[in-house]
Amino acid sequence: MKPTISYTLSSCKGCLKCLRACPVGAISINREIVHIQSDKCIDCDACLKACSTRGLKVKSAHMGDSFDRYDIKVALVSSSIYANFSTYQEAEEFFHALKCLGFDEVVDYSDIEGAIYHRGIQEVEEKNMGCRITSFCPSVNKLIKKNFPMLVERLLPFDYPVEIAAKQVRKKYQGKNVGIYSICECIAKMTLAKEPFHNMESNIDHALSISHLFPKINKNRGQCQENINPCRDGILSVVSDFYKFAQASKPVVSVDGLTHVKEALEEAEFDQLDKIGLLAVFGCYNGCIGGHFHWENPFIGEINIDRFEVYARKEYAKLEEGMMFKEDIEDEVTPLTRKEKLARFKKINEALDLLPGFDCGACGYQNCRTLAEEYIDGKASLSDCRIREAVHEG
Amino acid sequence: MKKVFTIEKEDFENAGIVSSQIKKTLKLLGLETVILRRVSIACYEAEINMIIHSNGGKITFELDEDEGRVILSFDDRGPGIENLEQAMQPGWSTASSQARKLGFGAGMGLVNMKRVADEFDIHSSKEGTHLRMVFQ
Repeated sequence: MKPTISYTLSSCKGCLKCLRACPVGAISINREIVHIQSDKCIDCDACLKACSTRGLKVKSAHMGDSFDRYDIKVALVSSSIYANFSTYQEAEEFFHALKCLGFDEVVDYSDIEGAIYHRGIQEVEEKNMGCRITSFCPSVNKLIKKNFPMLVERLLPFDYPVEIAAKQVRKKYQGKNVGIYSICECIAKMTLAKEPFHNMESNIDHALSISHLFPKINKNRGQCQENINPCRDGILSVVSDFYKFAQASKPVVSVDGLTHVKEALEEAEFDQLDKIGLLAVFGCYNGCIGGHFHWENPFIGEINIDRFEVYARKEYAKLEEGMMFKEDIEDEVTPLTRKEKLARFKKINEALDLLPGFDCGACGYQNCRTLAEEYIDGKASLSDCRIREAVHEG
Repeated sequence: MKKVFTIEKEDFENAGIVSSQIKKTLKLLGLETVILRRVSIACYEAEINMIIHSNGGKITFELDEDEGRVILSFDDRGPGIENLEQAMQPGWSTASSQARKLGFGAGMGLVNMKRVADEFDIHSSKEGTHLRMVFQ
């Protein structure tokens, strides 16, 4: 799988901002080209936000190219979209404008988000397993899998609401040629789809960003309105602050923003969060309403979406058990034995002793350890370290 | 590889820092999840114990490259565990009220450690307690 975010300019300033911002050390800069390691990248937006030359771009699909392939086209929209509208009418207009782009149906899957929100709380009430973790955020799920493997068993077993919504659409139009489009508020969610990221096991055919669609939607606005019917529990599930309204006998706590998330997960690894029944985790600030593609900022977004709560009367969905669960995909295991790992680790540490340990990033790697690793693998030289070179010359 | 960390008496502010560093190192090494969990929990419990109960001491973290083992040693400067047999009973705790207020001292420490370690040796006298755990 290719990285979601790619570098598009011929040269960068080499300011190292993206390198420093990456929460998982997936970025290196070599000869003024940014390299993103796809096996480490968790598809958050930290590098994109940090880039001072706007050289980083998200791979995006153009929907026009794909529309002819399908007889029926369905758009899926998360309840977090409501954060962008200050009035109910604006939301109605938006849904109509979206439909006007050529979709046969626009599905607001807040009822599915609500269902998973409910099932999550129910699961925690029924099973006594210490602190459980729930997240609709693909970035957080990847972060846990890659960097907090001890916590994988604490993750609730439910699939992403958008995937469940796609499965339902697929079932509804069984035997028909249907194209399912996920209208995404963030980069991480885009990566779930088949296109443009080749996730062939997904039920979502295409991912489109809402900001990419915005100009087109804007053109069609103000003509008519579509009836909308959001589900309150869906809205509660996508805003970090709203988890305080969760009705559960055990404490429900939410954490948002990857820096805070990592801190909480570190504690959870030592069993230090076991007084919490459910930890709701969001990669973006304020929850999904902080997604990179929302045009309203997450602070005003929270006020906006709060207003929709009064109108949100739809019951949460009654889901079939079979549709709810995530299929487990086994990750590749490194073929190294314990002793081989220890031997490699020793070599890396010996190389690390030769480096200054400032983690300045000037060599193009996030920290001295990464340079040491690359050196052991024969991909870099210790002379790439500018401080070391300066000392030698001096 | 061997690393020695110093622990100060009743330094609650820094409680868990050594365990975090050891956990981080083991993750970088790519240690299997099952053993990573056992080492982390045992190390955290022992570190907190040392801060709450002892006059301070040191934690030694060792990676035995030849045998592929992780060895943790905790050596403090007293005052020693008065009744070791009793301390090994689930639920027994002599934690101070200050420690309990911070959420420490449920009295499962030594029991948990013995359960998760492959080798568990403990000796205690007024001069100090010496605990060594080996993980295969």
